[in-house]
Amino acid sequence: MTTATAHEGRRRSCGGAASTLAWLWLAVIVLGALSASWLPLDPRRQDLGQSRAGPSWSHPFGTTRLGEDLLARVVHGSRVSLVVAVVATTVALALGGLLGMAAATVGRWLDSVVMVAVDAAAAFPPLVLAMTMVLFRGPGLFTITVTLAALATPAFARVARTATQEVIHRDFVLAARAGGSRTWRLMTREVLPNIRGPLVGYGLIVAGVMMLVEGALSFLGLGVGTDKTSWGQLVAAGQGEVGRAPHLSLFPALALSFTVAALSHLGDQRSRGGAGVNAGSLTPRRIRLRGATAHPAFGPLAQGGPVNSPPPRLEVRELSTVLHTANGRLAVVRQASFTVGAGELLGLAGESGSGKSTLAASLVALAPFAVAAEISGSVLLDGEILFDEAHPARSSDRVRAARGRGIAHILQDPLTSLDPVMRVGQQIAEMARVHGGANRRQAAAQAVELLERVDVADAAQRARRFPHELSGGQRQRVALAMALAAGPSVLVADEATSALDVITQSLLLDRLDELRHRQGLAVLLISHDLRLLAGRADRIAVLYAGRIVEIGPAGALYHQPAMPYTAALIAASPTMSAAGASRLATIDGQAPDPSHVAAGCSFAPRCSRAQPRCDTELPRLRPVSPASPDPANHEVACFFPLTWPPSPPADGTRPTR
Amino acid sequence: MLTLVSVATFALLVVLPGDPVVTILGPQATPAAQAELRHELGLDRPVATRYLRWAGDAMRGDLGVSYQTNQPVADSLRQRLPVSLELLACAQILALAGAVVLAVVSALRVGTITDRLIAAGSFAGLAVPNFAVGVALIAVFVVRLDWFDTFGYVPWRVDLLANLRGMVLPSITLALPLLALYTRVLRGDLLRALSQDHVHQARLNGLSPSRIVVRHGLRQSLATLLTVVGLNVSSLLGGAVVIESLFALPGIGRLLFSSISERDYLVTQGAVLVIAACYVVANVLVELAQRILDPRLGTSAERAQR
Repeated sequence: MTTATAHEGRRRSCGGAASTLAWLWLAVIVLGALSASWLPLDPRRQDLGQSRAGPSWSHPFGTTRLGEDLLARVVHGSRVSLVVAVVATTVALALGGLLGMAAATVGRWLDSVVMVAVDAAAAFPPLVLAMTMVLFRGPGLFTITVTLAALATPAFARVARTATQEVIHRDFVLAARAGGSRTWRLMTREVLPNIRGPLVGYGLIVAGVMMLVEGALSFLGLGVGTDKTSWGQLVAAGQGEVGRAPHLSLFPALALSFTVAALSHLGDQRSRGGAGVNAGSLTPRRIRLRGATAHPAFGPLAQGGPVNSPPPRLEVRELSTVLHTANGRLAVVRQASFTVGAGELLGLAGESGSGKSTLAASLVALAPFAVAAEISGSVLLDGEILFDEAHPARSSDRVRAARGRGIAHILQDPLTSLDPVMRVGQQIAEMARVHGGANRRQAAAQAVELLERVDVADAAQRARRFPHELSGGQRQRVALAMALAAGPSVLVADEATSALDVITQSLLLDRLDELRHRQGLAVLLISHDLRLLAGRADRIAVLYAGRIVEIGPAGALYHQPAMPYTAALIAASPTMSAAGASRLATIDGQAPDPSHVAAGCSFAPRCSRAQPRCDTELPRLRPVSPASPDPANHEVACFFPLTWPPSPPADGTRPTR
Repeated sequence: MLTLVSVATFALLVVLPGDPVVTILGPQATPAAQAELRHELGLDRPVATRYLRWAGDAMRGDLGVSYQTNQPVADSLRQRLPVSLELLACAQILALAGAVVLAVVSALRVGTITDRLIAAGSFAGLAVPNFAVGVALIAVFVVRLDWFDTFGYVPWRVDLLANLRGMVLPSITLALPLLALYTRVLRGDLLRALSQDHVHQARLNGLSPSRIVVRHGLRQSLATLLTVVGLNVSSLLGGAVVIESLFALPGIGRLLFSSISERDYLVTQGAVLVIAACYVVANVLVELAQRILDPRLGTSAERAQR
């Protein structure tokens, strides 16, 4: 994965270099065109003794049939080509842009009129227009410019309309509209600045295409006319003599092609804008949690069942993940260690942005946002090493083989985590085929069986449906069936129940309970909802800024949290009985910025119990009660845990930093 | 929409200077003879009447008779259209197949030299004038290497092999810029498709990268690409005149070209109508194919998005 990063970096600089080259080339062309009259290059001086001479010092591009200097003709030709392309593009951009914007803003009737016209224009062969124009006015600069502009206008209208529609649904435009802005004002003030980027980008590409079309028309005798010289015409004129004097069309063609390529490259860059890696969910944001402030109302909680120490199905040691995003390197998971035993359910709690999903993907050496990542530490599945220092995560064959087969994942939203264009049965069967080596028919039968096992009624029918044809609960069951298809030892459910209603949620969790009790499946249930975890999990780990800050039996952790952050999370989770007393419980300050690794405790800046020591020294996980070690190991990474009796006064004493 | 296109063509032809009667009879003809012919051709009637008569006949499949050759327009279109359609089909198939391969390779190796070479190649393919490519191909393969000697068109009914041989160079010429365009569009769409959740899920499921790209990325992306393919149809059918004349193919583009220069308006009308009809049919086919590729497209909300 480090190599992928290197490529990424090189690619960015290369894109920069290509852009610089494109700009340079265009600058040279434009300068040449502007200064053509003052240069010692006369395109009309004939030297019949030098007919069709190849490139030489006195004629770098060679000469034409009449002995004219080809370089001079190319430089002068650039003026015509540029003027035609620039004027036609500008006219088409203005006209088409206006039409498109108007179509999207003014009203439905205008929109349909414009769109029908644009559609009809696309069906109309461009050649007919070009030819009739020439017959009408005779070939010439004006004719070709008008023709090209007319041909390009519908496309600009289409682009402008799409871009406007996107802009117009944004909040600030809706607000301006509601505020009674006139359509014209709306278009010039709000819409135009926002669609300029894509329109100009498209314009650059079109300008290049126009140069090519002008060449093709010249080839048919419909170009700028024989008294003028354009690149397209030079290329076309040279075509007849390709055998005798290939340079005649080669040099103008090169000039033309480089310019078109430069224009379309720059246009491409512009219209794409800032399409970088989306690291939105990784950037720090202020969180707001709601619920009771003081103490949570206690619901019925599962007691941490006695774990009679079977070999852990999943063992994670010092797992760390650094993501390489557009915003730099982010240490998203830091030295996480935990185990999940056979039949055990470990809950992993944390806010969004705490690194939960990255941790889940890192277990099988993948990164969640398709970005490059450095994953270190070790993961053992059923006692067997998937990766460690000796078998790096990115090159380990074992971890590759374990994906889906040893460790299966279910993601939050099954509408997006299932392939939208594939029947759900096929998707489940694909897992059975890839991992189980079943043939097509066996796999299809297995898929139906799996669906039945996760309580999908009419499984054979449903298997033939596409994800969007199923309800949310059914989709999540499909996702579960898919995860179970290869008979994994560990199931990672990443917010898998968050999008479901309470009843579907508990049905799914019941099914998970059954699977782990009957088959010894180990489950890592990831959720932001501590209360939900407290009701289902054997043990809970709390993740903050990529670190496990507290881990312990569900009951103990929920009722007697040791870490101030855990207490804040519990206080902030909504409860039924506290509905009357629901005040917004927010945690002050911002979630930590993952690009800055704090020397001390990451929660310290927001913690009311923090002492100077918390800012400078990193607290490690240690037993909550060192005197009498808890058999189920309730551990916390905090110097001044809530269970520590002498707590300093909360306010006022905190030193300023 | 066909009506709109045909009205536009009619209007264009009416305002054009030049008189078909003069072209047919020559400049020396007496005014009486001109008037007689004009009456015979129906050109002395009002424009609207002429259009309505033509449209009425066209609906019955009668596109009139060429002023120049006295051949029924429908007949000459029937001869020309298969040539153009074959050229179009060959070029589109070549371009699509090539684009799928190149875009998949590109997406599998994002950021590598291979990827960048393909990207650079697709820029170059779009930037080179089409006719220059054709001339270069002729210079190399016909003149130098003498691989293809047959010029002109052999109907596939007569000799399928000779027909395909004759199509190779023109289809390659026509396909090259398309290939470049499609590769670029498809690569972008593929990369966008590959950043979706279900692809992350597929990775977590342990599917191989090539399987993910082909089975879980390509299908959706193809649906978008097909839109571009459909939009190209009419400009390719009518605009292939450059390639048709380079390779001496009797296609509809050349018919259009000659009919306009000879003021043979009924032929022009008919050709434009047929091209527009092909465009409509092609886009209906594209839409059908898209619905097969992407089952979500049936619903209006999704369609509005695209």
